[in-house]
Amino acid sequence: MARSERVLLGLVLGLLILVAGKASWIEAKAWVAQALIARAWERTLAEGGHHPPWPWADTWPVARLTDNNGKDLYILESASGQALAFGPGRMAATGGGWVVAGHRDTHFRFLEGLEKDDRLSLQKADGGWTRYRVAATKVADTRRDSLQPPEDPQALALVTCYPFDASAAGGPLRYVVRMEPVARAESVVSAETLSGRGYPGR
Amino acid sequence: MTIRLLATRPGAAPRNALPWALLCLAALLLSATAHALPRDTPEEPGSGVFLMFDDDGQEMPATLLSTDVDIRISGPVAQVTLVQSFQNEGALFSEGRYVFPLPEQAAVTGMTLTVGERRIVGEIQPKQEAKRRYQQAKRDGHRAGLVEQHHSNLFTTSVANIAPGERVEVTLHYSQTVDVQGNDFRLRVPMTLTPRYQPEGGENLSGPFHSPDSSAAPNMARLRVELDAGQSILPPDSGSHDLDVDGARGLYRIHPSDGLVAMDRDFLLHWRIANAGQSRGSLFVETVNGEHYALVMLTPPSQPSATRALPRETLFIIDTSGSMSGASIRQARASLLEALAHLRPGDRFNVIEFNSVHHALFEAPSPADEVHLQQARRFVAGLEASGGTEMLPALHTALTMPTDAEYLRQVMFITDGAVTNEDGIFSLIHRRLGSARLFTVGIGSSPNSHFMRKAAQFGRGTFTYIGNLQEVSKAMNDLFVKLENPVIRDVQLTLPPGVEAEVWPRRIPDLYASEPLLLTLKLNRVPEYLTLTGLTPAPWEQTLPLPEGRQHPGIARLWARNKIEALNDRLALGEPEEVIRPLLTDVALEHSLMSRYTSFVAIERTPSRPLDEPLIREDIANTLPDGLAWPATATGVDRLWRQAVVLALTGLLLILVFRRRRHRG
Repeated sequence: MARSERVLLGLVLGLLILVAGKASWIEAKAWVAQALIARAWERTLAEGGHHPPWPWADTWPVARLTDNNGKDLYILESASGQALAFGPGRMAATGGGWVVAGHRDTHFRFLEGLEKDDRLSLQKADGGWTRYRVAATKVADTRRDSLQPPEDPQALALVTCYPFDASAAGGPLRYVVRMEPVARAESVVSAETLSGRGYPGR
Repeated sequence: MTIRLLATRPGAAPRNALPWALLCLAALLLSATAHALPRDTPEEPGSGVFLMFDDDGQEMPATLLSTDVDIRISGPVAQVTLVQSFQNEGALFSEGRYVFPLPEQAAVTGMTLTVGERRIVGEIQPKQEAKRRYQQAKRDGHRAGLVEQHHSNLFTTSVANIAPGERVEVTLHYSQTVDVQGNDFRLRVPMTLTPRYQPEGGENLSGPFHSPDSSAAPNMARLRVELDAGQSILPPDSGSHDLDVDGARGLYRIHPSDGLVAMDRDFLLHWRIANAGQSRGSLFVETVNGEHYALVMLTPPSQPSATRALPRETLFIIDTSGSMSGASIRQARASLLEALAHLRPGDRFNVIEFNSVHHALFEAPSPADEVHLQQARRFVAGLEASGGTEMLPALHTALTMPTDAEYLRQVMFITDGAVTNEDGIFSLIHRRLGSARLFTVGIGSSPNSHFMRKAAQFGRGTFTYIGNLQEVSKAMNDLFVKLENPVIRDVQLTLPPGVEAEVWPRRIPDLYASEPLLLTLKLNRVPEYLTLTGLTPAPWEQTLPLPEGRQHPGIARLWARNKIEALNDRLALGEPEEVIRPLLTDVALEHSLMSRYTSFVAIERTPSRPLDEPLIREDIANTLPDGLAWPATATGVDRLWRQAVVLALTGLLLILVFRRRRHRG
C-alpha cells in the first residue's frame, strides 16, 4: 500500500475512533451512572439526607421516575450540564411544581413516545409514590417563551430539547410535558388544568 | 480544516483524485449534518421578545419596542432620560404593559407620551387617582399612559388605546446620585431585573421573561452619556460594556462601542478623580421657588489604622438559592474565599449558607486558625445553588449567635437579594443588630441593590457590588480596607447662627474610610460654611466652605427623594400607613416625584379608539438576566453516531478503492 494511502486510511480510522469513542463515552456516562445513582437512592430512602452517587459528585438523587414497564430513571438535583450527563435534573425551584430537565437523546428520549393520559410514577425521598398522568405536551420556543414552574406545587414538568431527531445540539426549541397527579386530575377536569397554564401558548 | 490541510500538500497528484474526492464527500456529509439545525419556527420581526395574549391565552402579533437611554452627569447627580417606543402591529387597538427596573435611588421626575406628532405631558397625581383616570381614559378610548411604582425600584409603564400600526413613545425623566468610593465614581443603570423569589404567593410583578438563548435577540437599547465631572478625571471606563470615549479632563461624551446594547445586563460606568489628595468635601446648591437646597458630599480620607482596638468576629452569610445558580454562585464562592483570606489570627468567624433551609458551618464562631479555615474553604468550595430564598431565619441565626464583648461583630451578607419580604428583614436587622454591623455584598448580573443598600443602612454598614468574577479580589480588598480603618461615629452637622435646615437623612450614618457622606438640606438661607464633627474615637472636625453660587439642577429633588426614602423606612419599620401616607404624598406632589403613593398619568383629550372596537392587552417581555436559562438538553450523541457511520463507510470505500488500484497495478 502506498504511503499516501496508508496516511489517508489512518486518518479516517483515527477520526472514526475519536468520534465513536466520544459517542460511547456519552452513552456510557448516561447509563452506567444510573446504576451508581440507583445505589445512592437506596441509601437516601434508608437513611434520608443527601447521598452523592460517587464521592466527588456535586449532585445527588432526589426522586425516582418509573414508567409503566417498570423502567427506572433517577432524577438528580441541579440541571447543570455536569449533572444532566448522568441523569435528568431537577431545576432550581422557586415555588410551584418541579421542573425536571433531561437530554432528549439519552434519558428523556422516551418523552417522544408519551401521549396524553399516559401514566408515570414518581417516588420522592420520603419513599412515597405518586401516580402522574400526562396532562399536556407542548413545544416551547426559548427565544420567546419563559420557563416557569407549574403553578400547582403537585404538578411536574418534564423538559427536553426538540425536535427529538435534530442532528445538532443547541437548538432553540424545547418539548415540555406537563404531568399531574392522577387522583386530582381525574376528579377535577377544569379548563385551566387542560390548557396547561404556566406555559405561554404558541 | 482537515481538507484544507491535506489539499495544499504538493503530493496530492491527480492520480489520487478518487480517494480525495471521497474524503471531501465524507467531510461534506459531516458538515451537512452539522448545519441541519431546526428552523421550523418563523423568525419574529425585529427582536422577537414580545409576548402578547388575548383573553383566551391566544398569541397575537408582536409589538416592536426600542429603548433610548440618555444620561447627563453633573458632579454627583445623574439625570437620565429614558425613551421607550411601542408599536402596535396587530389589527386591533391594544394595551401594552412593560415592567422596568430603575436604579434604587432614582427619583422619577417626569413622563411624556408622544403619539405621532402629539405630545401629552404626564401629571403627578396621587396613585389611586392616577389609576382611576387611566382606567377611565382606557374605557373611553382615549390614548393614555400610566407610570407606577411597585416594590421600591420596580416600575410599570402602561399605555392604552394604541391604534393599529401606531407608534407610541413613553419618555421618563429620572435623577439619581452617583456612587462614590474614595476617588472612584460609579454609575449603574439597570437594564433588566432578577426574578424575585416570593416565599408565599403574592402578586407576580416580574412579568414574562425573555430567555437568553444564544440564538435569541434580546431587547436592545441605544445609550449615550454626557459626563461633566466638575473636576479633572481620568477617562471613564465600564466593567460591563466596551465604550467609545471622547473628551478630556472633566468633560466626556460616551457611548457603547457596539452602538446598541443588549438589555440583558446592567450598564456600568466608572471614573476616577485624576489628582487625589485634595479636599474631598464639596457642597452643591439649588434654589427653587425661593427655597434653598444643598447637597453635602464628604469623603473621609483612608489612613492605615494605627492600633487595632478589638479583634473581629466575622459572620459570613451566603445565599445558595436557585436564583444564584450559574455565574452568581461562582462569584459568591470566590468572594467568600477571598474574604476568608483576609481574616487574621485572633479573629473569629463562622459561615452560614441558606436556601430553603439554612445551616451554619460551626455551632458557634470559631477561631480563624488554619484548621478551621481549611474546613471553611472546603465547605465553601462545595456550595451549590438550588431551592428557595428563606433569608429571614438565616439572618436571625446570625444576629442571635452568642456574642462576646471582647469581639467586634461584623456580619457579611453575600447575596443577589432576590427576595420579596424585604420589610420583614429590615425590621429584623433594626431590632436585632445590637452593636454588630452588617455589610452586604451584591452578586450577579442584576442584584436587587435597593434591598442590599437598605439592609446595609439598617445594619449601619456598607454595600459592595461585585459585577463579575474579575472584580471579586479588588472589591473584597476595598471592603476589608474599610473594615480595618477607624470609623467616624456620632457625626453631627453644625450650621452658622441664624441658619436653619431640614436635613435628610435625619440620623447621620457612621462614616467608613473612603465611603462618602451625602446629606441633603433644605435651608432658610444659604450659609457661607458648614461644619461636621464626629468621634474616631478622637474628636474629628471638618469645615466646608460654600463655593460661589453656581446652580446645580436636581438638588431640590434629591432632597425630596431623601425625605421620601426616610418616610419609606419608617413605614418598613412598622409605622402606620395613615401617618406616613399624607406626609409622603405632600412632598412627592410638591416636587413632582413618583413614589409608592403617587404616579404619573398622561391622558389625551380626544378619544382615538371607537368605543365599539375591543381593546387587547399585551405584556412585553423583559430580557432575562444573564445566568438564568432554559436547560441545554441534548448531548448531540446521535450526530456523533451518524458521523461515526459515515467515517466507517468512508474507510471501507477507501480500502476497496486501494485494493482495486493495486490489482490493476
